[in-house]
Amino acid sequence: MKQTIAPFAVPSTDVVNHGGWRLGTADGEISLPVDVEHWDYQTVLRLSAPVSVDRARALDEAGLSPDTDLAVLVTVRSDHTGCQRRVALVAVPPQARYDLAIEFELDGHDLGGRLDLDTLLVATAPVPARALAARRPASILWRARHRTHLEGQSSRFPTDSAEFALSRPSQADAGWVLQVDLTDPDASFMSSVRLTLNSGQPIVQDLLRGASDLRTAFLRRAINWDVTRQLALAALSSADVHDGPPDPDATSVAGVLRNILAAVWPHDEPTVLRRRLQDDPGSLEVHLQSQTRLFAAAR
Amino acid sequence: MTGPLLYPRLPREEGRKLLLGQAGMDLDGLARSAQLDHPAAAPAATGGRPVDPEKLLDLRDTIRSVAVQAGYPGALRRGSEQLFDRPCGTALFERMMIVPADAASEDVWTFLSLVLVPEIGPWRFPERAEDRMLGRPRNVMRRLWWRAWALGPDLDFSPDGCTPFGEDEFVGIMERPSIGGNPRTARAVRDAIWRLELARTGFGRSDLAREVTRRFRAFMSHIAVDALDDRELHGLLDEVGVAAVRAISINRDRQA
Repeated sequence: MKQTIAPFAVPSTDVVNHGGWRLGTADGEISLPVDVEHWDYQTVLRLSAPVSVDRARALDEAGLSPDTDLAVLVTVRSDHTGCQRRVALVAVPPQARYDLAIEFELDGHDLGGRLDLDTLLVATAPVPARALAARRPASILWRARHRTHLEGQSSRFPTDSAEFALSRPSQADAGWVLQVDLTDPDASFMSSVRLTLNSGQPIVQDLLRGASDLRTAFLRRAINWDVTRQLALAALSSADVHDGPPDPDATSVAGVLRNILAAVWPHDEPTVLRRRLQDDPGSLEVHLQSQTRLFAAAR
Repeated sequence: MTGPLLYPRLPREEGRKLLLGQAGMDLDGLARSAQLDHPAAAPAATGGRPVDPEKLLDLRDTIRSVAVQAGYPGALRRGSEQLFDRPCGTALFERMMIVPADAASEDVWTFLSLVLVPEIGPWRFPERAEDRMLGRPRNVMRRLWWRAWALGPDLDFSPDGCTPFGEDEFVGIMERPSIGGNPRTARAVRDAIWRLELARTGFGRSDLAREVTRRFRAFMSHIAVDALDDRELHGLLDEVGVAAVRAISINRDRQA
């Protein structure tokens, strides 16, 4: 989760112990999996989590009076719909330490894709005891994010296939096309980028059928190299991909492109890479070939 | 028909094929080519009931009726696009009975835009840009449904003394996922902008809206808006509004 610097004192991260989310199933509760299988819009998920709050220490470290009201807030956000909502707001009773049982049902009508569950400890009515303490209602003192994927989207690059002879007759001999839409840098990466494989190519047909031989293995590596290369060049051509640390939780097209640059060139900012692209483009190209292991299978 | 409806999904490459075929067609030709189905389109396998042809026909007639009221087939004059956009968004939201999870599917809007009412996209956006015709987030109708979801359903509504939102103001809210993705937050920001309009600050509402959303997002990094009650949220946004007016005023003085 991206680190946010609050303009007020916050307590240590261990003042809250989040026991992890449990998913209710027909066979009992299980730990929330990375992928929730057999999910659709009409599925209602039953989720619960034990959250232990060391209220006394949280308030003391945050510089807040014991009169301060605290609550645990849970929100959910879907990267497929962009919808975000509150699902639980539970007051923390005025005891030194308290174990809360957070439970709710989540119906699927506005979800799908990656689901982020954010748990926050908030001062709903802060009473500052020291100068740097929070003063505004709903000041966030602590946060944690958990994640799952609905519809099994955990590791899918947006990909489909089509016969180019019909949809792109002038490019019927191509192998694939990568489309990157950067008109809105905040748009979801999953809706802004699409790889389409040409099912009119016999070797692509073999790949789509799941063939696993030297030819299809090299094709996979070639696609990986080319897609990485195109995304890297798109990132470097965009003024919306900035210097600074990448955000591993980014889902926007600009954010993910920044992450791709960081994965390939972990020690170089985009500004430096742009200069290198002008001055010595070959060095970027050879680095890409090496990083994507284009020829690794040939050894 | 009750319960959520599932709409046919036309994959992007099939959509591109259709677009190629429609490239040289005029509005009348496009309207006559409209269909209620397509061999490559199918709804999601689960999650609701597939929409029936009668419902699709009703939807098509509704969209066309809104377009005619806005002057179709005559070109929309610059500045009058909301004569179509707002009522169309409301109509789509009220008629489609689609859940947000399906409304977030590109392929649903590709089907509606290129198969059901193929003349509407080119009429509204004569340059026929691909991202308006295919079902991507800026699609001619997709963006309108989501506006109605977040800020409607009646997008033509405004309080006495105010005017309905325009394109810049809708975009300013909807293209900020932390605001546009939560109807309660989106409506609270909208209402705050209307209060500023009523206050007759002397500044343009679009400038105020831009400044308010920017400043409010800064607060959202450390204030859990979902933990604020309505009174607190209203108060925070009014504070943001005052700061926005002050900032614009200072900026204007500097430029003078």
